Amino acid sequence: MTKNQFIKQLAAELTRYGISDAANTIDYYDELIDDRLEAGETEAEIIASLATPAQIVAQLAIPDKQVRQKKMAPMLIILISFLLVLGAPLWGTLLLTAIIIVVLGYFLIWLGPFLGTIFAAAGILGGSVSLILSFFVGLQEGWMIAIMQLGISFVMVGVGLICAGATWYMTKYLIRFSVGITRWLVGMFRSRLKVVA
Amino acid sequence: MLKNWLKISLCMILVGIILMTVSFGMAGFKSQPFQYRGTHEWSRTFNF
Repeated sequence: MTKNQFIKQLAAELTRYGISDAANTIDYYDELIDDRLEAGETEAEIIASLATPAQIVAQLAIPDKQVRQKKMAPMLIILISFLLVLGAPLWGTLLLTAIIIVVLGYFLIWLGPFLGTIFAAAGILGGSVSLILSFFVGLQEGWMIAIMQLGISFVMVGVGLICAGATWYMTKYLIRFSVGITRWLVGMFRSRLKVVA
Repeated sequence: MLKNWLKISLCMILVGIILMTVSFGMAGFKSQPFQYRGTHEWSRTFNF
């Protein structure tokens, strides 16, 4: 391996592992090889005596990671805490608004099935009671009135059943829609957290 | 294809409309017989 090949490989390994002082490491080995070349050694001898680029980077990577974590973590925590406290009036209200909008969205989505259920229950229950009572109305008020009540009862039960069916299909679709939108929201929130972390 | 519940609902509405029309026809197509003529005091029904 020549000096150029060694330096190129070292640079590639340093980039791959994301070592912070990559430039210093390359300069160090560049100068070391030059010095030993001046002293009379050959390129092959020098490089054979050195550790391979992968070994050098592996040795650098572990302490570098530990140092970064030790040094950066407290600073980041203090900075983030400070910014969070300082910006609370802004992000707090924005977060609250976002939560209210999401809750309102769900409420609006489920308003349809809710109203459908009320209409269905009112139609079916009210119509059924009216249907049974129309017999007694016939006995007391006359059959003309009773037939009118019977007709209204039939229409009420029919409309109630249509509302019930429509609510059933709407609910089935909305459950899928709500699960999908909730997953999307949670996914978006998680990706934002990853970016922040 | 219509579902059974929809067929039943539509049939019930149709029967209801026919019954209402028959009753209205029996009254001579006048709404007067169906108007409320009682003397019920609603304040006694909902006497909270």
